[in-house]
Amino acid sequence: MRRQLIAGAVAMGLLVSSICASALWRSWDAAMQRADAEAANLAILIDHNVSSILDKASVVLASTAAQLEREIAARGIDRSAIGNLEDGATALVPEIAQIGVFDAQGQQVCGEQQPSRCRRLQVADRDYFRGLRDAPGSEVRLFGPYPDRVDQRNSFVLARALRDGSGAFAGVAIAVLPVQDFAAVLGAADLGRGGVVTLRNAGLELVLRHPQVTERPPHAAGATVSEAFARAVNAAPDEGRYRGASALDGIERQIHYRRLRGFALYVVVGLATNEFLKPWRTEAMWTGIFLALLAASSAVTARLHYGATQDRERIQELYDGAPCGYHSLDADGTFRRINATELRWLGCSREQVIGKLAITDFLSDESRATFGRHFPEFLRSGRIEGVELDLVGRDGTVRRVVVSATALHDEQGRITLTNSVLYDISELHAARRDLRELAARLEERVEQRTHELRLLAAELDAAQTRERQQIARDLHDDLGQTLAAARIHLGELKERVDGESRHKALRVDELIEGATRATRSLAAQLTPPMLDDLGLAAALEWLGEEIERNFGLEVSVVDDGQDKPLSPEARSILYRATRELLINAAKHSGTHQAEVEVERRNHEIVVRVADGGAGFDAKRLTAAKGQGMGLLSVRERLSFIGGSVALRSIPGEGTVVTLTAPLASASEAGWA
Amino acid sequence: MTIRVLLVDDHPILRDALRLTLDREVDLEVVAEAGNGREAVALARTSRPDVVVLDIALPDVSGMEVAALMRRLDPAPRIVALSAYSDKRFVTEMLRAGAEAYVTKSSASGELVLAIRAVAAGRNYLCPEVADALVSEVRSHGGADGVPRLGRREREVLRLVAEGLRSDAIAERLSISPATVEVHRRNIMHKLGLQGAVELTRYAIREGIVVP
Repeated sequence: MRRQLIAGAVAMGLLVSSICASALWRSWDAAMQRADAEAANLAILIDHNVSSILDKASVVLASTAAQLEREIAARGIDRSAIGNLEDGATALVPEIAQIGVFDAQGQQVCGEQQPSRCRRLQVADRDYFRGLRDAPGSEVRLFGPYPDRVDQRNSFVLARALRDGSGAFAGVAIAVLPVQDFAAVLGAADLGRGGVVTLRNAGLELVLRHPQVTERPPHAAGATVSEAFARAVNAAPDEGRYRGASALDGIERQIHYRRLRGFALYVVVGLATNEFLKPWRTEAMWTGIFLALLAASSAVTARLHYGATQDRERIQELYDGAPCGYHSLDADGTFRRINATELRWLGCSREQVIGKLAITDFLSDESRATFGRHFPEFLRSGRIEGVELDLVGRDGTVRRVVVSATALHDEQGRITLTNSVLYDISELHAARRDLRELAARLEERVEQRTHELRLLAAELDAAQTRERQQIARDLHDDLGQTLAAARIHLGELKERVDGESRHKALRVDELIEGATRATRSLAAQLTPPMLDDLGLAAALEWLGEEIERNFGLEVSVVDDGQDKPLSPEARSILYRATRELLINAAKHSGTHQAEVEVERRNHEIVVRVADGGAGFDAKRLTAAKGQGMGLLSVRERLSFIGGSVALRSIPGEGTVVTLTAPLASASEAGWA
Repeated sequence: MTIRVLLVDDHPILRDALRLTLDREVDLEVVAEAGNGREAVALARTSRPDVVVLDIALPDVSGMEVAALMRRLDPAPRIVALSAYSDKRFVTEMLRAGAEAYVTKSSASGELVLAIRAVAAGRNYLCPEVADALVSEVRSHGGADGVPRLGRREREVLRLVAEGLRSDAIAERLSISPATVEVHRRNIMHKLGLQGAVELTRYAIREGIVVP
């Protein structure tokens, strides 16, 4: 009997110690997971903010480069306007310190009115210039950072190749973004004590660190990349984590890194593990105290055998006062024993519970289902660990507890009693939920930002169109009319003089006629004259003839002859989108025929563009960054004004793109 | 008997130049000038010109609209359309709206004088540049050598016509509007030189587009 008692006490002590140890280990692991989740979220946030700046700068650079390419294709870069073009781009995105344009030899192209600002740099030896010159394509790419030739400050370079009409390399346009401008983005993150965030380039060299290290210049520190980091990036290049102590300050951190999508840049967030282990230490201390008490109580148990009844009361105290819940259930789940801590959680007295209520009476619906799933298995195996349940007290307080239990059997192997330990992990649970919500909110914000960026791109495109129309109007109205008047005056002069003067007058007349033709065709390229004066259908017919003349694609335009009141904006979008689609069909569909149908249905104008060939390349239409309008931009701009785009491709029969725009109200329709 | 002229153009420089030219002709008198459409219609009513020289692109009301309004006056002035463009669409729209003559701004100033005298005498007039454009347009379409080519949509419409479907049924089948189907039918018949659905069907069967 005596031996059995001692053995029982020792076994109980060992069981409780192991349960406490396992709970402690889980709690430590949870703290580490929290640190990682927080580091990951911060990395997403910073990645997004950095990408946001770079994306905006890319959009602006691509738009600027597209303008330059059009100029190159026409008469070469307009050096009188280049300063304004660059200023416009830097005004749109304040992080861009400077825009630079370089010709095919790497010589900077300076505007006529900016000789002081333009340094006439030679960049043929720079790796961004060589990289873009030797590779095909017109994507915007990130390079650097490089130290400035004058003040040694580091800057990123976003660069894009310029191509002439035939697609040959014609130079490079770059946007310079000082690295220091990103310091605010890094500085905005709440890193806690000992936290660090860095930006690193593709070679993992340090670009920017927050907080800054004053003893060592940042670029000199770039040489040190910890082995653990290099190993982690090698295994998972896009995103990953590891834990390690920094060689710089010896602080152990949970580190999360992400590679920016589209740019060769890493965001690395390290949070000091120390910060996350504070609650765990308290818990460990309490558990230690508890185990010490338990050991002491074992001694008491040993003494109990000598008949000291007050010792039994002390054990009861220990049982009741422990910082975790204890209970014993019979095979039906009814309470047989319970400690004071758990009674306090339940909000009941011992008499109300013992032999009368079951554990399931205090569980949430969901947890009751969980319990129902685990309990039969527990009765079979006699052991269960780490099941999470929601315990609902009489006053409605909900506690998340983690339960571990063992079962006692009688001689026949039937379950007589279970012993369970319950830890309250409500705070941890709430923290986990908060983190999930934070992640969801972040996701939402990322989506919203993406949408904003697309709107910005569409807005840029709309601004470009307006400017184009204004230029066309100026060309036609001012220059064209003045030339016409000059010709009339000259006609009179011609009749009154003879000999050498008459010869000269005839020559001037020819020159003016040439200038008139050039002005008209220039204006027509920017926006066709019919669009405003005769309406969409006439302009599309004219467009069809132009495409046939210039690309050899036979375009038949069918108009249903009904009135089509459209806002100038809608007219211009539909016209430009059709033009884009027809040029695309001429270049890529491998057919010689295309059809355009313009009709009015109910309260909409529908323009259908069909080719009979291989079909429009949807990828080309959406991905053509900065070249023409792009189907994505068409969709964005049409949806702005309440229209839509639909693309249907039938293998072997080609593709039909249907553009829809709402009819204008009488006030905005104009006289077209 | 002088011809009374109303000059309508929104560009003062050009208007001055035209006026100088017209004033030198003894049989012409510029009685009024207007810089926009509304002003032009009002002046046409009060100063009763014989001929209106009318710019197509005006800032407020289109030239076609102005021409149509002036045709309703009694007596209605004769109209010489003045434009920077010789494109056939501008010409046909303007003639349809009631203009008797069409002169481009880039043609010699003598052309405008000829046009004014022609319409005052009850004739029509096109400046050589416009006449050239119309003639080459007619030639490029009329001189079709070999078999006429139908577009894919036109072949679809022709097949459905041959199957005996009416325009609204064809429209539904192709999910386009009935008005568009009508335009396709007209274009097909024009291209093939056919008249009516019976001839269309016969042609389609013969060409193997429909197998009866």
